[in-house]
Amino acid sequence: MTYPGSGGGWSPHQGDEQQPGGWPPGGQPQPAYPPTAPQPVGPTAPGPYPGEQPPYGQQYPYGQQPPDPYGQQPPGAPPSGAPQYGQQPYGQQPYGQQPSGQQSPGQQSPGQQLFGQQPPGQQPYGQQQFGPANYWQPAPPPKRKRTGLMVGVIVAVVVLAAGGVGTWLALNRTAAAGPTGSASPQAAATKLLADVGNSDVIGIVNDLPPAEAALLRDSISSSTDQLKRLQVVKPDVNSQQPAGVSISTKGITFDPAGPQRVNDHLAIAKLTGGTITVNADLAKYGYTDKFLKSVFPNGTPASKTQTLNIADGVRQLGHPIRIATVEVNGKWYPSLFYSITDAALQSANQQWPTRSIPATGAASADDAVRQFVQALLDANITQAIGLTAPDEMAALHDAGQAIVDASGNPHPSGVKIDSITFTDRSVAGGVDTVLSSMTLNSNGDRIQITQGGGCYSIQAQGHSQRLCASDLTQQMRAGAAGSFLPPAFTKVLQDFATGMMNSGVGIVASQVDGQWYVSPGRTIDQFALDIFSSISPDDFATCPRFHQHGNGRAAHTRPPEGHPVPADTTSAEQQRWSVAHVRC
Amino acid sequence: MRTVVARLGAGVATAGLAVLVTGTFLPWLRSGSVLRDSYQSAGAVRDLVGGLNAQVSALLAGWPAVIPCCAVSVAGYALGLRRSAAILGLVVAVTVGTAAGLVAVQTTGAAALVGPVTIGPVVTLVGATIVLIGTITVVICPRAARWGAAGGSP
Repeated sequence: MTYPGSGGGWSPHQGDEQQPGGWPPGGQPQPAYPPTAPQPVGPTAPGPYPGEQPPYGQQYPYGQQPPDPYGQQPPGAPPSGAPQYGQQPYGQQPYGQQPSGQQSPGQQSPGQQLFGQQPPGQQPYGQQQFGPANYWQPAPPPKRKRTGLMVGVIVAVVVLAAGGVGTWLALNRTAAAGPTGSASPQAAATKLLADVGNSDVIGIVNDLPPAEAALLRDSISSSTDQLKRLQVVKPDVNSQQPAGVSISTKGITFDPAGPQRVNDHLAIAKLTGGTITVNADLAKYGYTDKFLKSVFPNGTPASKTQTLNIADGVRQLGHPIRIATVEVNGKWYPSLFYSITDAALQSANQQWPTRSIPATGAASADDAVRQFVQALLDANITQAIGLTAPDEMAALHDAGQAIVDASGNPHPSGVKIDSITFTDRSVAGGVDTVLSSMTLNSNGDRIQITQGGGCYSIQAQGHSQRLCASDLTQQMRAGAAGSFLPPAFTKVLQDFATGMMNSGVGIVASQVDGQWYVSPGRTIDQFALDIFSSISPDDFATCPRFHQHGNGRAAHTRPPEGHPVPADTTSAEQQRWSVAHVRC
Repeated sequence: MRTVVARLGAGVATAGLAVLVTGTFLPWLRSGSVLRDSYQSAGAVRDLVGGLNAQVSALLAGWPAVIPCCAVSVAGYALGLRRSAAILGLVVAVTVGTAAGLVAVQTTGAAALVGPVTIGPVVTLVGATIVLIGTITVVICPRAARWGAAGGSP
């Protein structure tokens, strides 16, 4: 227990946490009362020791027991912090106990009150009434300066309130940076076009429905990594950075009649006017100098800008440009896949079906792929569509009935899958199921396919055939364009075939709401990745080198130096060489 | 004298925290002609960029906590809890300053459509530096005084 000096109320600025209250800023403990200063004594108030009045704390008049020194607590005493019998509040009452009627006047210092003593003028001397309530009645504390404390508390409250507002603002901005959707179909389309007009790649990706955005994001990210490995782009290129293309829009207008509602979750916004300006500048993108020199040996083409007038396009098409928007979790998003599907239906003069094909998932990724393959063998298009991922392939589910109707009545193959096993590998957004072995039954004939050691083995009707990477390369070289392919390109094919045979061909399945579905988009993406990852940077540089031997139209019909087209090459063979070149 | 220096350190740290928070609301990322502050950038990067390691993901997820941490630190100074406020401010300054420094030194082509913007990270880094100066003053000052007292100084 410590006794701060009288009037020394705690202030937030009187010390830091290393200095508890009671230790003044000087760091030295000081007594609460002047140790030797005599108390003012009135001329008619004789004290027990005139002129030698002991200091407070040392006073024990009238045979009272001397109190414990400061900082010591008598045994059995209650903890500090509450007024106790014989214990004084902070420096306001003298230490010790005064019995009734034994109090000597004149021993009281100003501002202090002896126990059982009433202030002058309130009660006559010796007539004060004693009782428990009076005995424990605390003396009114003196006024202490709490200005610093109050200011500190007010400042802290204001700062914390401002911090709360700032946190709310920051959380909102963080959440709004992701795919948030729009309130209406037209607002969704407008936002997309605004982001396109600002060349805001991040905004464009976030405008898409979440499933499409995730697919696009994973695809761009993984392909960018491969392009860096192949030294096509520089290592510091951002995956969201478009390939040197910027787009701006101006004066975009929509059909005043509003969007066309197809069903409860699909609406078509109709674009009728405005301009779209596309600027292509390869030098702005992070292509490596090696790649650019390979592709453009005569120098990188200059920046090119083209402006498209939407009204002109509408006149040529005979109908507005349609942007499909879908509702996901109460928000509208412009959909790339729905827009493509809508365009396909429009070109086929078909309407969106009135009912969708329901999603029918499987318990596992392998099971989903097995059912999907069996559905294709059975020519059961409805089941195959139902096994595709309902989030990514929602457009396919909605338009599926039109595809089924257009396909007529296909005949099933009659082949049944007796057993099938996969080697699963985790990929972005799902599981890539790579075929390990499969046993088929075709009208009683068993066909067994196994994969291992970079080869596929097929056994059917007592015959066995083995297909390895070298066989595949040989077949490609023996093909139409193989006769005049340069050795470097042959190596590209060989690396590609080896990579494909070693990694195997798989189908990617993804999980939606606890069910597994086939993901066509991720399957194509993974296949492209397998192709990229199977070739080396030198292989990739081989293809562009074909351009070094010509430019413009001639480049497509002239073979590279050292590999001239044979004299007896026919125009058809030249065309095949051109096809091979374009594929490369 | 010791109290005055400590108060001065608290004031400097508070000013640094204000600059730091201001910097987080300035542009950090450019996409086309659209600029995004640090909070929008954190949300965009977290959603768009796959394959982030655990530390970066945690930093992006906890980035909005910069503001309440700074507010609590300033409130601690106002209430006289200088040491606790200084420690919290130090943690915030080091974490945010490191992230800001890493973004500030990123280089992309001037014509690249997506890339970092330096103004936000630089202001944040300046704020973090000021916070560090104030924090060191607050933390070192009482210790120096105690050492001096132990050596005989009153």
